[in-house]
Amino acid sequence: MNNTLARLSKLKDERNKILQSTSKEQRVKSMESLLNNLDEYGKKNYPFLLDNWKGEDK
Amino acid sequence: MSDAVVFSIPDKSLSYPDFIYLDTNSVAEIGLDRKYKNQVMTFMIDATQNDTIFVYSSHMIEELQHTIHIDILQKEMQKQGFKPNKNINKPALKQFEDVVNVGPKTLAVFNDLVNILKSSTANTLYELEEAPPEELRPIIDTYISAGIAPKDAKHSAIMNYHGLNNILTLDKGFTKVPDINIYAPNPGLTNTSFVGSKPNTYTTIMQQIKTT
Repeated sequence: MNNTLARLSKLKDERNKILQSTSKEQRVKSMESLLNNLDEYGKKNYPFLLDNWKGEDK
Repeated sequence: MSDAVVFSIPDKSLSYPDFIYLDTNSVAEIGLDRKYKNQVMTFMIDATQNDTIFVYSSHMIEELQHTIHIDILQKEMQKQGFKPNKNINKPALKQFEDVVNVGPKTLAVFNDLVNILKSSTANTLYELEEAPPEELRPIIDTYISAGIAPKDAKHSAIMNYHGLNNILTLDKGFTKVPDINIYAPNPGLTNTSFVGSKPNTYTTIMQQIKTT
C-alpha cells in the first residue's frame, strides 16, 4: 500500500507541475489540438467504421 | 469492495477526478473515426477544463498497434480477394498473414498515430511509468481469476499499481473490475445497472482480495 501511495503521490506531483506551469486555456488548447489531429488522422486512414473493433457494446 | 460505477459522458455536471486512464478504445474511437468520437472528444475537453489529466500506458500503445495491424490485414485481404484454403485448420486472416507482409504499412500508420500522441503530451496526456513485470503479474492474474479478460486485466492492473481507479472506455468488460469508475458514452455501458452518481474510492488489489 505504501508503495502505491508513493507512486500516486509522484503522479500528483507531476499533475501539479503541469497545472502550475500552464494555464487552463493553454491546456484546453493543447487538448483541442491533439483531438483535432487524431480526428484528421482517423478521417485519412479510416474513412469507414471497422468491423473487427466495434467500440460499442463489446 | 464495491461494484464498478459507470458515468455517462459527456455530462457537464460530473465531478471530474484528478486522473483518468485512457483505454485503447477511447483513443481508437477518435483516431479510427468511430461512432462515439464526438462524445469522447467533448468529454476530454470538458475534463481538461476541470483540471483532469489523462494518463495512458505502453500497453495501450501496443493494443493500438495490434488493432491497426488487424485492420490493414483485413483491408488487404479483401483488396486482393484472398481465398483461404479450407483444408487448413486456420482462420483466413492467419493464412493471409502467412503469405503477405503488411508490416511496413502497419508501422507507417501506427507511427503516425504515436507521433500525434507523443507530440501533444506536454500538458495534455501523461504516459505512466512501466511497472516491473514481477510486480504487475500477480495483480493481472488476480483480475483474470475474477473473470476479467487478460487484456482488460492488464489495464486494470496498471491502474491499480499506480493508485488509479478512473477509466475512459467503451468496453463493458470493465464493469467486472471492483472499485473502478468508468466514464463511457455508449449505451452498452450507460444502460447497465452499474450507472451511479457517487464514484468509488480507490482500493489496492490486496484490499479487494481481503474483502472478497
